[in-house]
Amino acid sequence: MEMRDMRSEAIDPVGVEWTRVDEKYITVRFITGIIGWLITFAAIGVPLALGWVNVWWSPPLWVQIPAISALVLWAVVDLALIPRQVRAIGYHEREDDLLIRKGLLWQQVVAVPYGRLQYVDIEAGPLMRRFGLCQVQLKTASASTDATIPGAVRSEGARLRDELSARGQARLAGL
Amino acid sequence: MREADDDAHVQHPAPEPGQQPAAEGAAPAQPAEPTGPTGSEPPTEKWFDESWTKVHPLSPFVRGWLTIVGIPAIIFGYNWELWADIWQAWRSGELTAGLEQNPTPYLIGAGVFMLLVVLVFGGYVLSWWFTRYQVTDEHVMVKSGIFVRQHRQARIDRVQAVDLRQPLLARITRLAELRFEVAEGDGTAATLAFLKKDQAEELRTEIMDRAAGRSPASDAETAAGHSAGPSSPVDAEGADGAAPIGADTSGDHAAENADRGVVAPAASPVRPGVQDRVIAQVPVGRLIGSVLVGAGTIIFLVLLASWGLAIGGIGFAVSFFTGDDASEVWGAFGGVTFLLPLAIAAVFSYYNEFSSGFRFTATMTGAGLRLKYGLLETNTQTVPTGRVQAIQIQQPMLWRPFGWFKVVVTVAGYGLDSRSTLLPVGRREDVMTMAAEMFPDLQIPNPEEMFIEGLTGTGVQRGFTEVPARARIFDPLVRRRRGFFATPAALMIRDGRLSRRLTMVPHERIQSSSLHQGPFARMTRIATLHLHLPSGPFQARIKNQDLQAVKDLFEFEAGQAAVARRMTDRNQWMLPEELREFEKMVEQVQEEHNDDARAPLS
Repeated sequence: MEMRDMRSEAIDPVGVEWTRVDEKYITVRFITGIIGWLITFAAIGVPLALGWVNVWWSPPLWVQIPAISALVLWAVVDLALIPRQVRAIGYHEREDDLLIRKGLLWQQVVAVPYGRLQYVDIEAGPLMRRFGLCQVQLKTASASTDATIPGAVRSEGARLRDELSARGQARLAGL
Repeated sequence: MREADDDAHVQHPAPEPGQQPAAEGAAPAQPAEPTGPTGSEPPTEKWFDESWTKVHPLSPFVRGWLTIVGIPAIIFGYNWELWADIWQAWRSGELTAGLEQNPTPYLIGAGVFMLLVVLVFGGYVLSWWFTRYQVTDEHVMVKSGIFVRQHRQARIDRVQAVDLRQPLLARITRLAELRFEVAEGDGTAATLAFLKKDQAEELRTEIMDRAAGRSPASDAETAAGHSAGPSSPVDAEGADGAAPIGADTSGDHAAENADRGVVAPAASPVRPGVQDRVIAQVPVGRLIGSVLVGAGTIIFLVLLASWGLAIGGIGFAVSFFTGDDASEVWGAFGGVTFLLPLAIAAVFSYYNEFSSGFRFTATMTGAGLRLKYGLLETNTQTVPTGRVQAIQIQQPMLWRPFGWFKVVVTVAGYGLDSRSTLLPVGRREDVMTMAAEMFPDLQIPNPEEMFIEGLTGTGVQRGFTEVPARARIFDPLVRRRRGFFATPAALMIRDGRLSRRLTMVPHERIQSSSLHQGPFARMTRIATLHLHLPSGPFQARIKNQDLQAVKDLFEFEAGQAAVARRMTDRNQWMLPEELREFEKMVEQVQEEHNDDARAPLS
């Protein structure tokens, strides 16, 4: 587990040492990001290519070039930001609640009191499993509670689930 | 435990019995053969036994009357000319002659017709036979479905509210539908349709009692000295319910007055000694006025104006470029194509609003707030006070000159439903009474003052915050309205300049909270706090507040959530001694928190 200090942001509660998610999650995000962009480019590129060989209608060149460069730029920035985005995800177990933060530009800190936990969900798709990671999701009676820790090591995920469930049981308050 | 909860949401893609009777009745040739479960199940394992109760025999007809009336109406309406011809032929004697000559086609036609009738009828009978319910100590269970069986159950101790609904036909036949809401999920957990009205009321009282954690036995003890508990409120309502559809208002008013002036010894089995009293009513005049100047009208006017502008603009543009007469374009786009749907939508929305507020009466009973309303279809719902998660008082723009307000609440299970309206339109006094009844004490010396401040006030004079002046650019209009005030018991959030809102959430009802800040907000040192509640008609968000203030609030709410709850997970607030005990605990915990250098909000 990476323990390098995370920069404290303005909305972070005072004196909180964030635990980061695993660095391998950056790789996972890269893979999913690249696949996503490839699909996007294929979806746009195929009709364009058909246009170039005059099978399909294509917009004039002066529209195509800026549009495609903008899209490429967007993809590059999006992918380049992934390491920083992942390193901006952190969580911290306080005595009575769990804090999760995320976001670089649009930042967010959520506090989930243990007493409000209904259950803790652990999820791992094939890619995440391949890297030994999982996603921990906290559920309360409110659907708007958005408390997800993506990319925790599986042992850490299991520990979190047990720990949080135990603490939730001890402080159970329900609705 | 989870399994049981999950059961409450079992929903097969089964066709609703009784609504498509023809399709169901098509398969079994002998419909009305009451021999219990057939075919699909081994005879040893019965789908239900004697302990399961059947619903009222008229239920499928009340539920599916649209089919019975609708299909023939469509058949006759669709080719009425044919039927008119036949009528003519009958009058002239041609038909009789034809019948005598060659009766076969007529016989076949009549046979098909009779078969259809039998199938529909059989489907209804089967759907009735296979719908059973059972109320055990722990669950309300409903089984239904002929081929695809459906079993729904709701845990009684999780029941949040019980509603009694009477559609038009049910009113005529004096039946009623019971709907049980549980905490989890967003759908109704179980629906019992239909029971006799007084039977349904009795059952509702019983379930509400049990949901409140009181067994009928202990009830009898507490209600000792009073006359028999459970039946009394039923009687009070029975008087009201005895006035069916045709009854004029005076009769009903008499019943309401009887309700108001109740002197019956045991008004409530849940909290003995609490008398039913009417706390708010909506006069028809005010209702009509509120609907006419409500949000719907504003939307309607905006749509109309934008339509006018668009059509006008297009018309002029077209006539300018083509030299055609602009009125032709208007004729093509105008009138029927756009205005008719709009008018229909407006009529429906007006009718809905009007209907859901018609003869609206809110009565405080021992089991909670009883709301009664409806034009053609009457609804009676009981909202237990302890199950209100949050409350919002709204004032649409055009209501301001009249001083009207609307009260909506979040009750887990109601979701976005229109049933979450506690008061469709009321004056300030009504709203204050309602809030006082349905919301915990704010625990401040001047609750009314702060309440009014939250409803109509601006600026920071009385303790509410506002959006800092440096962030004026984000909220030029609502800047001085947008803010919060934390009392020891609850958080008050006010917002909205033209149409005002005041949201109140007891601290202990907040499920979780999150702090948000975008790049521009960071520049001006502001942040937004979201408070997460069970899904309801509104959200609790404090937007664009001073960063330090909102961070303090975030920490304060986290500290509050750490301590236990001010109310038990039942229908009622804590008893005074319980509450004292609890406050002591809270103080202790908060002192500990102070030691941890976590300053609570003052």
